[in-house]
Amino acid sequence: MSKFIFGRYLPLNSVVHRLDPRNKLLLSFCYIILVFLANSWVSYLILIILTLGAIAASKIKLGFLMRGIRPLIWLIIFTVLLQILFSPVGGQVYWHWAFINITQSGLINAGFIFIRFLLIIMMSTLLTLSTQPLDIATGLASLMRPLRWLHVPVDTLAMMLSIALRFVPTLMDEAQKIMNAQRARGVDFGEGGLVKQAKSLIPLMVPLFMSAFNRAEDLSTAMEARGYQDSEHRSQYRILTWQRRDTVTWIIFGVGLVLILISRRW
Amino acid sequence: MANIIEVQQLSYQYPDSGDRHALDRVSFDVHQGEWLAIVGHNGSGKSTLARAIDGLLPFKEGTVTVGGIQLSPETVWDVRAQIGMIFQNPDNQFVGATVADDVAFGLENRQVPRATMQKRVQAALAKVGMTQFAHREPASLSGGQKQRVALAGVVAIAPKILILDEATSMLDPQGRQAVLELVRELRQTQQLTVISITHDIDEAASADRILVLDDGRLIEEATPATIFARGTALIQTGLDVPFTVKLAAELRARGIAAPQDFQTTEEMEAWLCQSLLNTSTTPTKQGRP
Repeated sequence: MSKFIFGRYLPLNSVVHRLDPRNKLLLSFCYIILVFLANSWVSYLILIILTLGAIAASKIKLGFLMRGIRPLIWLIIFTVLLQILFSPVGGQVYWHWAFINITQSGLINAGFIFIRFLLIIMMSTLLTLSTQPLDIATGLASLMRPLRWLHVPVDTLAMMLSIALRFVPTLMDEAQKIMNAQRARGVDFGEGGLVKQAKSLIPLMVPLFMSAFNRAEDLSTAMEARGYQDSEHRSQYRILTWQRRDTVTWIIFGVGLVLILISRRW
Repeated sequence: MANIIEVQQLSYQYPDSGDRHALDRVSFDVHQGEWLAIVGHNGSGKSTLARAIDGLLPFKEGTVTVGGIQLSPETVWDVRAQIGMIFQNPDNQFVGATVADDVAFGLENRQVPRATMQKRVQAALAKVGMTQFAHREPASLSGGQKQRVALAGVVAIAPKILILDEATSMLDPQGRQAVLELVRELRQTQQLTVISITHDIDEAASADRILVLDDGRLIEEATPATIFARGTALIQTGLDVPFTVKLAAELRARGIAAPQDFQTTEEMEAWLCQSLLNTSTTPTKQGRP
């Protein structure tokens, strides 16, 4: 669990941490478009410089961030291999057997895909490392606001998401307590075969679910007692403000976009 | 003194509970500005009563009038606007992601403008002494601190009535004392009427008046002095003897000489560990049936 860096938050005080979460979400999304626009070595070089610049600005150590990629390395290798082995014929053929062709264009494409994967994972890891989950939730809710016109209950979804995030540590604590209680009664967690391990989780899941339901019921009573009627007719305490540094990021993004459009093969 | 709450012939039955009434024709008044304790053993209906007053239970018989407004499905939000409620489990009433967010929750529900909200959240946190925790997450707070945040949430909406539904029962003795002290203080500064539903003898003793519930019926209504003067019988219907005292009594009943009075849980723990060590090093058969 602790090895998994993707999706975790690393509290630091940097420009990237202080950016508006809405902006970071939009930037990350547009960055992915940028990654797919790039198709020449020069354009990828520009992207790598942009990405490393963003990481440097976040004060997060590159090595720490790279560790986040490790769990995903097999997925990357698998995709790259598929690309090498099964790409359509093009350019010089280096090796041929039955339906497998290793070609020049296949190798180049595989290299591009590898870089694409790496860049996208790095940038999205940077997003979650530098933004609190709650801020991501608030940002998403704020960006989805226009969907209200389509009668999507955006505010209710945002409330649900924020409560779910708030209860993650509470339920983790609870799970730990139940595990300790079961261990004291002789249950082995994480030992034996897969089936045995899965079975040992049952005495953990049942009390955990029961407690979660009880908590949900208590919480709904408490929310009602505090005047909660629905999510639409409420004012907002936590609001997001677009600042000058957010505008600056888009200037940098614009420069990157122009450079990539110039350097890409048309 | 004017009555702020009037309860008349209130009855309630939980679905699928057969003939048993959770509340059976309960009538009483709460005077403006008083501290009323409602005591009773588990299942006596005291929490049900608190929920009924706040409109959280759809009762069919009887009437509840709060601040001149009779409780009905149409007026339930007007009634709730006058009442702040603190529940037993500190975790299960913490809605916000941080302390400040949680204090603001009630204000958001009332659609208070953001500028006013910020002022009131700050003022409320200052009143309960939690200002420096404003941006902390609930996971990093103790139970007593969470209950203080819940109190700040009540202070922020400035209700006339505060209902404590066993609000201190899950806290350690220190946390309990701190929360009760704070309630006493807020009651003075905010002109609150306090209804506390409790097992705790100290909490009941700080009340102006005590109601004793048993099996959904109101069996006694008097000042703490009168009730405590009656001796142990009545107290035992309603109040819980502290756990350490109960444990010591049970041990004595089994012929183990436990010391008479324990001030704190730690002392009991220390004594238990010590006596367990003694029996394991020098095993004796005395005291065993």
